[in-house]
Order: sequence, then C-alpha cells, then structure tokens
Amino acid sequence: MRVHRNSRGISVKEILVDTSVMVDFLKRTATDETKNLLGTHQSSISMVTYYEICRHFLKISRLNELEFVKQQLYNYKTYEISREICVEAAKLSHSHNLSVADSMILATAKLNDLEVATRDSDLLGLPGVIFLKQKK
Amino acid sequence: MYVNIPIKPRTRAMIDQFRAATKSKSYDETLQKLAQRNSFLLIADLEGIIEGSPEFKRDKRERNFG
Repeated sequence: MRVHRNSRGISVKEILVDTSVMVDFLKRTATDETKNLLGTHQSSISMVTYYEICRHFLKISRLNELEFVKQQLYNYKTYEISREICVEAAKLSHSHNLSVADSMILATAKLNDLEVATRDSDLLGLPGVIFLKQKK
Repeated sequence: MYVNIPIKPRTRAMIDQFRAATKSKSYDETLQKLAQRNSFLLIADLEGIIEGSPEFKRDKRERNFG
C-alpha cells in the first residue's frame, strides 16, 4: 500500500475509492466506518469511477449537479487507464470472472500498490479489497 | 509577519485555478487546502448532493463479439 507523508511527517495510507462508495458519499448514505476510512486516508479514484459518476448523474437526470461534481473532482487524484492496467485487468477479469469496470479498478489498485474500498459484492474476498457494509 | 515570495506566472495561474475550483476565499486558504494530504476533504462539499436518488448499479453487461 502506498504511503504518503503529510506536513507533520505522519504516514498516511492511500486507498482507491470505488464508485459504489463514492456514490454512497454523494447520497449521504455512507456509514461511519466508510467516513472514518476516507477521513483517515489519502484517497483517489480510477478514471472508470469518474466515468461511472458522470453516467450515473445523467441516468438520474441531475445535470446541474454534475457540473458542480466535475468542478470539485478537478483536483481530486484520478488514475488514468494505461496499457499496463488494461493487460492486468484482462488477466483479473479472466481469472475471477469480473466485469470490465470491476477488473479495471482492481488492476489500477494492484499496479499502484493500493487497496480498493468498495461495496461491490463481486469484489468481496479478493486480495487488496476493503469491503464496506451498506448503511441500514 | 508576512513576507512576499515571488512566484512564476505559471505557478500563480495554477494557484488561481485551484482557488476557483475549491472556492477558497483567500490565497492563505488556497495554500492550506493545497497542503492538505487528505484529498477527500477536497470534495467534502459534495456529500449529499444527490441525497434520496436511486441506487447506483454498475453496468456488468459484456460486449458480444463475432
């Protein structure tokens, strides 16, 4: 797992936030466990999550809010999709029968030495995955 | 005590861009946000922006070839 140093010299781990967790936050349905995890770690998203957020906002017809989200995410750390990520994603998809988005996000995390914070049950139990519960 | 630190126009432009994106009211506030290591604070204003909206469901469909 990648470790950063903040201005006080304290180590902060970085996690890759999956779309399911990000949308929970946007819907204000994130659990205290999720908020605590995000508040105590450096966080980032994959470009796949950026795409899925845009698509979700279009699906629920929230175009005005989407512009604000895009503005806020402008400086949020977002991992591009590289050839190496595609190759790794193909391997993960083949070996674990994962969808395109699942495998791309998992591969992004793996190649950048990160853990994925997710609520997606298809990733449950896989190495490098922090599975978060849904708010009741 | 305040001191003036000369910066390149390109750096100034980047700070201005970040200031606008984060809606910071001053350069002090902008620099504080830039120094923050927890990037999730950058999007704190987004919490609840689509409160009450339908559940997110990932598109798991496979493309068909051939």
